[in-house]
Amino acid sequence: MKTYTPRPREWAQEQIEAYILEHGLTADDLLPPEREMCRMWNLNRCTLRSAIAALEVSGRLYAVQGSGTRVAPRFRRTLQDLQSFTEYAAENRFRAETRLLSFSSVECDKTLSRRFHRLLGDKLYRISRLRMLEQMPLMIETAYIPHALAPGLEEQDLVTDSLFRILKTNYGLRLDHGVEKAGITLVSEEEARYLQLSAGDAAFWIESRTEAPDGTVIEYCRTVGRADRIEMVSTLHWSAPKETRI
Amino acid sequence: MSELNYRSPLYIQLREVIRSKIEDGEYQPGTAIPSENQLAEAYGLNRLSVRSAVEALENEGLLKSVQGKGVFVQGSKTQRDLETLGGYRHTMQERGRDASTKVLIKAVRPAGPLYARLLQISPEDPVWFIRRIDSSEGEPVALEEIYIPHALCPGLEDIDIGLFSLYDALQWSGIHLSVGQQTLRITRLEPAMARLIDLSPQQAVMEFSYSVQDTLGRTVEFSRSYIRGDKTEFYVHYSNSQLV
Repeated sequence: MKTYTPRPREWAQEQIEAYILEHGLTADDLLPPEREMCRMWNLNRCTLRSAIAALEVSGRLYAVQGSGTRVAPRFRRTLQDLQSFTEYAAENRFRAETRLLSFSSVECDKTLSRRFHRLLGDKLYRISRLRMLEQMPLMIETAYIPHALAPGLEEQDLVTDSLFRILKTNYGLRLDHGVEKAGITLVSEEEARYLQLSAGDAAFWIESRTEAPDGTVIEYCRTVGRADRIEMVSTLHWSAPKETRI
Repeated sequence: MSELNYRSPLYIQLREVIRSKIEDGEYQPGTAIPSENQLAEAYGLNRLSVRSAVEALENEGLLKSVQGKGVFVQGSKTQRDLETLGGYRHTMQERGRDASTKVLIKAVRPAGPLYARLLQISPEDPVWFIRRIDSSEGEPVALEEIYIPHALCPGLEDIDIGLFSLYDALQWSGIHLSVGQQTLRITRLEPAMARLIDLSPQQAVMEFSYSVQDTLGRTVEFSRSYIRGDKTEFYVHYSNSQLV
């Protein structure tokens, strides 16, 4: 049987990650001083530093000059509960802020009419919002909602209230199921300005579509989110195994 | 089927020998059965008879023959319909004809503090560590690192995981998967790892980590895949009604 011995750097990285889990460290929590970590895990300074550097590159830690190494903050975007940004922030006691970048009416072009199963020229609301957590820009969400489903949406408070809540409560819409796609994009100059990035930096590209029980498309949303601040989580359930010989 | 006797055609007798060795577990799912020559010699048959026996079982789906590698026992497959079950999938999983997997490392190591925690075992416990590269149309697309408690799947040693999926291997060890947690991040790879999938270290990759529990609540696998963002996207179907 072949055996594998993790390299010292790898091993040091595992120690740090295990420490973070074990002590339940979260956003912006401080790691012990380097000397302390070397002693705990019997590592030399050089190995420890290269492990920390690797974890910085992969976006798990960040260092502040003179004040140690901290756990990088990540916004956990869960999918299944259709939890809104607003609800997430409230639940985790984060200071959330939303800036309305634009609110307009557009007509379905070919792409949108396919997404919504609506006729060319049908009216849609287009709402573009910048989401911030703890005063850090996180993502730009651009949502499309048919006029017909939410007439008078422009009268609603889209800055402090949750869009999903408004659709549910004020319009009686049932957000039942959907599909979401995620990939990598490079941000444009305009997006970079809002997200405090440089044009061409990598970012999450998320497209989602939310439907009513009867399949009516209620919302289609495109999100550009900071790669270093977001993680997306999902839970998958297997059905009871059905055994078949193939 | 009519009762076999010593006058039955030899290839049919051999077919039943192989079948019962599969059923009795002498030939394990995912492992190769003896070669045509070995079988011919062992039973004093000509190779044509051996081939007929093997072909018959291939047609039944019990065996799978792989060019240049041998004939493998095909275990039963679980029907998985991820689409309706709320997990992220990536487009790579629609494996085309030309998809391939190259196993770089398949070895045993101590779990250590991190994987002990993630797999709910002791740091000294041995785990399987697998590093492999998935390619599509000849181009590397994903680098995958997988950790499985050795105790749960000791038979992995003999299973060619370049040919069979790990889920099948787990299932053949009597493990039934129940729930998985998936996390998707964007990250960068250290240069040596980035090279393995033809990326420059500056380029961002999708990191897909995954932990799976079986029906007994044990964590049976933890894995991390680094997937080229220019080659794939992830998608997931979800529903409120399914989540109760």
